[in-house]
Amino acid sequence: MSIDQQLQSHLFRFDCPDPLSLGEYHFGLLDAVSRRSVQGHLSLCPLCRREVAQLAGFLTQTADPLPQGEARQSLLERIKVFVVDILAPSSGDLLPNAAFRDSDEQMFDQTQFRVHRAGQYLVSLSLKNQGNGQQTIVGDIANVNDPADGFTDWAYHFWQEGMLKQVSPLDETGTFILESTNTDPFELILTGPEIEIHLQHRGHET
Amino acid sequence: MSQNAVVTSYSLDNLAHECQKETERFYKSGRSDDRFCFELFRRAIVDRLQQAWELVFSQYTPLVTGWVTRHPAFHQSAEEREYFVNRAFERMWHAMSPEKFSRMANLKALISYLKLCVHAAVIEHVERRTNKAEWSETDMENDVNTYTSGDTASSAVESAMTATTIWELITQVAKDDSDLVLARCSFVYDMKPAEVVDHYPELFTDVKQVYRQKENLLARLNRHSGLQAILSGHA
Repeated sequence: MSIDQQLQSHLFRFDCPDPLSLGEYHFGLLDAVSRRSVQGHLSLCPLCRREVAQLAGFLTQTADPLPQGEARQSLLERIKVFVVDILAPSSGDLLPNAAFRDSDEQMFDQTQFRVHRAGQYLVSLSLKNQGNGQQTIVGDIANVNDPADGFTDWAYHFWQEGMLKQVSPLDETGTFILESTNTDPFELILTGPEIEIHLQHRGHET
Repeated sequence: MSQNAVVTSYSLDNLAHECQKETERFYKSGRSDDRFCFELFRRAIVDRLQQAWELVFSQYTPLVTGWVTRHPAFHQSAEEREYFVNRAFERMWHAMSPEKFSRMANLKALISYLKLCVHAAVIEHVERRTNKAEWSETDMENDVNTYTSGDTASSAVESAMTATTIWELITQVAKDDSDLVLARCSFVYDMKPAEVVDHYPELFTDVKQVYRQKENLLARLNRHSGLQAILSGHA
């Protein structure tokens, strides 16, 4: 056996969380320390991201789809889930300072910028189309009830085509940036200690 | 007397009977009174009543069997359905503590957790073991027992310690972050060179660079006496 094969036989997924732990992370059952540890691992490990996606697919095989709009209780006590369709006409306010666009048509070619409400949180999302089917997503979350609220316990999970593509914690101020994502429909899930905000983007209108 | 207090006063047999009735009602109409089944789970998990757990097992085995059959990875395994049904219930028994139970909002949450246990049982067996076993096949053919099935706790612990030690040695041999990323992508995630370039374009410009750098890294690892001692001790 080559040294390459020997190393792989010993090291394959040696420090990956076990499937049950990944599932408990997905359910929001982990304590803060474990959750941050798994989040950090998911930001690096494509195999675990794939496994979380497999789990999500398996769980939804016979589950009801998430309802739009209203907050609902998740499977666990206390965690509130908000689902926002970020392209729905009633969802979000285009900022008045839209000088970067000349027309509605150009908006989709350049940058979409909306602010969405999810309970006490305001999520602003900017989608900048870079051409070549790529875009940059810049987001920011704020707690209207507590402007000093920090977001170190928050993370974003970026899903596309049934795959968990990226996981990363938010910075202290609640800002996040996803560069060079493709412009396919996506779901961006912001998770906090007792809340999930699902931002669903069904793709650019033609 | 509150409704929940009424339920808690039921005998186990009555509880199981009502749970069964409500489950059938749910399958027919989509509606049910979940208190009985929830209480059955509570007695099994919080009160740790073995008989209650056995009733949960018999009540939900058909549902769990269906999940196992429909799991995308099940047909890649060489195991019978019943094997994974038993593993799933075992996992729930061990993992669902009274504290965790207190965070389950309702019966649906418990059933979802049970479904998670099915997923974990199947994935653990099919994907987490299969890949490790593939690499060890050659050694098995050479009559060298390096196969770490993870079936026993002690072999799992030994495997984990060996892996950690090997990884620490790799971090000593790695020249920089790109070497560490490459080692992790190659040995831990089994990524192909093109995938490495795709995931880390800021570190690797093309597959040739990946091949070159990996060759270089492997050469240094081959010369590391400590690493060789560990690997030969397992050969």
